Amino acid sequence: MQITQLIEALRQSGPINFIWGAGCSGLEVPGPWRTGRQAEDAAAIDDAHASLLALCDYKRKQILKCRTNWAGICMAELLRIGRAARVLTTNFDDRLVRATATFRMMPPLYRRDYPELRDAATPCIYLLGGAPPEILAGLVGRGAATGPWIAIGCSGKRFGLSRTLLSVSRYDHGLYWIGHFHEEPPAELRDGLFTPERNAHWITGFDADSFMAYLLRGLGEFPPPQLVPKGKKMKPETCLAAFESQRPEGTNLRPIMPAVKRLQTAGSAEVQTFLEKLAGEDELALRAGHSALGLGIVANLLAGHRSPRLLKPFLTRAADLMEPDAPGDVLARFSEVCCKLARYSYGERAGWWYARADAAFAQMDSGPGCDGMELYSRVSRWGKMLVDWACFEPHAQSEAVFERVRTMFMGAIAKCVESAASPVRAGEARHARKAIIAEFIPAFHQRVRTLPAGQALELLAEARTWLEELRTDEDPYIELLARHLFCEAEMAPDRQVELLGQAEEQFRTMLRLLPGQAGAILSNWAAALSQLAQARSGEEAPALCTQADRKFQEAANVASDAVLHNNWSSLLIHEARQRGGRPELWKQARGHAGRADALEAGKGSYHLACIAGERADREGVALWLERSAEHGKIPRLSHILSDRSFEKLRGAQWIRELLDGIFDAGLAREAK
Amino acid sequence: MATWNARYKAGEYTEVWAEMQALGAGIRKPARRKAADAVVRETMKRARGNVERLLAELPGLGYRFQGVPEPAEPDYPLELRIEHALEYVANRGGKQHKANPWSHPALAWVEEEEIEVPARFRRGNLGRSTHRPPDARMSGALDEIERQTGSPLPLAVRAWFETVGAVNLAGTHPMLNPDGAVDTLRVTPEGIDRAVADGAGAGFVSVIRHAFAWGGFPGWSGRAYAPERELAWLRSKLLPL
Repeated sequence: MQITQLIEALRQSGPINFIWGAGCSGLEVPGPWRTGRQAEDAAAIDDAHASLLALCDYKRKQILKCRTNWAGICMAELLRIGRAARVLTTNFDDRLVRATATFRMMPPLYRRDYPELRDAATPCIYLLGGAPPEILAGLVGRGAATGPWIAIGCSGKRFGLSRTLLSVSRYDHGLYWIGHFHEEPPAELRDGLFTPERNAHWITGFDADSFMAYLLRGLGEFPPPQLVPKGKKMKPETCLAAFESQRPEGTNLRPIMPAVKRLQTAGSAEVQTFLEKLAGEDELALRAGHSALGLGIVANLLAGHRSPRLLKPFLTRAADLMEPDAPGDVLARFSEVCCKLARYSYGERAGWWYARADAAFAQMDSGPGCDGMELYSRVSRWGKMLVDWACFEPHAQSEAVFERVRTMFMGAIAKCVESAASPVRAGEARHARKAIIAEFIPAFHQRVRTLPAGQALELLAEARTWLEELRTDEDPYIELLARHLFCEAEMAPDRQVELLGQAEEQFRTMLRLLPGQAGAILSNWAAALSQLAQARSGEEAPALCTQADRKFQEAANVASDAVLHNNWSSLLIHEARQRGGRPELWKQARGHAGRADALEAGKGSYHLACIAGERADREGVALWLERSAEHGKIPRLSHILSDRSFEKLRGAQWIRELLDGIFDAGLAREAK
Repeated sequence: MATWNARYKAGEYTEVWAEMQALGAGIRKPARRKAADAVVRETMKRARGNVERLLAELPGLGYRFQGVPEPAEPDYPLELRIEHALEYVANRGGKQHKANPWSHPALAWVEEEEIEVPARFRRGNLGRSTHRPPDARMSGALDEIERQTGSPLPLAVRAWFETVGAVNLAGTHPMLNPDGAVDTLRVTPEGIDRAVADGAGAGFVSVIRHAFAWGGFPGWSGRAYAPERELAWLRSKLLPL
């Protein structure tokens, strides 16, 4: 069949379905050695597709550097003008998606769930690179009658394509397989497929680029009019450059940051509109081959000021947009978004978010080129995420997760020791080592509070050994030591007096060394005492509460802020509960929470909700929880679900519905 | 008695062709056919040599073959197709196609689709409208004419297209062909006179003999101010037939 006949036939038919093979990419074959697999596995990797399949998304993206080609541009234009209905591609290079993005199109991409062709949107792109072969076979086999078919850039060897095409007895609208110049069709198809009865045709004399250029000229306009200024003639090479120059840029946050600041207090509708626009731009940028970090960064910033209800859909979308490039982001912003979404969830769902972040960290390159300093920045964020997972969302694997953190920090410290051997980097490596240890200690403190005393003390002894390595540096040694001593006192009541005495010594040293920060130091001291008091019950609790109360007062005399009053109200809630609900204590607690709320909107609302909860005041709980959520100050969902203040209300359907209204976590559904 | 071919080689060109023509359709009888074929082969061998010499010499005189006019705007998809096919042959065609990539099967579509290759790809070579070497498609076209007319083409006509191919020397030159107004040697399948009776084709041979006698520019015959010096030089390069 001649090209002119083919184009005439396609002019008379409806939009075309394409099977878009590797030949449309002009892909350089990455050798098995680049997959990082062991030699024994390498034999199994027999071609480019298998090589790429063996890689994770991120590494694949690193290897497949895109070069604009005419096949992709013409295909995008055919999709735009409605002459192409569906593209089924097994390619990994995303070149086609990038081309559609350059024409500012975002056709649905089916990447994991593949609808039947008749149910799919048109135009759309099926990304079948990682799909099992039977998916493509099924889609083509069952969708043969949905329009004319063009198979291009296909060898027929993969995905059972030859077998699939043979299984269709007749292509009512025609099947046109574009061979590569003069090359023969796959042997198994030579006689069987290309028959008049089947209405299947083998087209020769083209490669993918030139065929698509002919096709676009026949069915539309070549070069695409967007690439040629009106009334001008342009050479194809110039068009390629024009196409490249029209590729959407990655999201630039600098110009929008003032607006983001304003959105902290703007109306929800305005925030919604802003984030929707940003999400659109981010998705376009991702499709165009850039990293899509904008939505995640902005939504994460706003999460400290706006309600989970408003932000959760955007954070979820941001996670999807950020995930492909997460292993290349040393600042681990995908992990931050996952952690935020874990805070808005509970139980298994929260674990699922942490696991997603964990998987992205695991794909980061920690090979021989990654030195101690690089490892530090990664380990610090990865470790923090894992500690949150192990401590705030206790589950069967918590112990194992924390053990991984421990191993990870130890590995990073060892790496720093190795790097310190080099005279050039010795200073830098020593600094990184101390920074890792300083990050490591609070992880221990967090973990011990979830363990039985014996186990906790063992872990604390280990932490103390690491802590002593920082002794030569007053900062952060003294502060960490003071906190550590409080932690030890919490776990070892028999040594409490001695340990608190030592801690006091440390706080006093800090006050002497940093007189300008006396308010903050006293506030931290008071908070430490408060935490210890809240860990105690019985006779010793009131004395500790009194001590903490005095310390808060002392701090407030120097400087008072929302954090101080909020912590103070937390202490008083505990004390009121311990002392049988004395009204003056509730009053004081309410007063400090109210003060915190006045100093920073929403900051004290949660404690006001707790106070209402202690009195089973449904309206009060709803009012203050909503307010703390509205200002982004509500604690993580799992904390609320285990908070003693709501113990009496926990079984009630209304509180589940209230929390669902805030977090959309499916509590009410699950209870039913 | 000397054979037709021996006499032809000895210079009895018109006499031999006249004797062959006189036999009419009888020339195809087995008793005559072998001797006639030898003369036809020899004549067309000389004709092909002459055409090749003219195609080689004329550009040296500054002659510009007409070809198909280049379009005002290049056919970009075609150029892309040619570029990629040439690249394919360069990368995978092997040594035998280095010198002439156009003979590689990856470029077979150029002939099949009767593509006039844009000048920038011809690198000074002639376009298919000036000279198209014999090929299977041309033979097919001749078969079709024979089928339509119900009789075989004269021996000389068929042999020309199977030996020399299609030729059209149209073009321009200040002396030889000012403004392209002078008739030139032009033998294409489209120009075949379907009314010519079967036989040896002496009439056809006579026409091309006349064209070669005028150095490929029979239009100068009977006209004043012919560029004698150029024509004589061209004539000197050609063999009689």
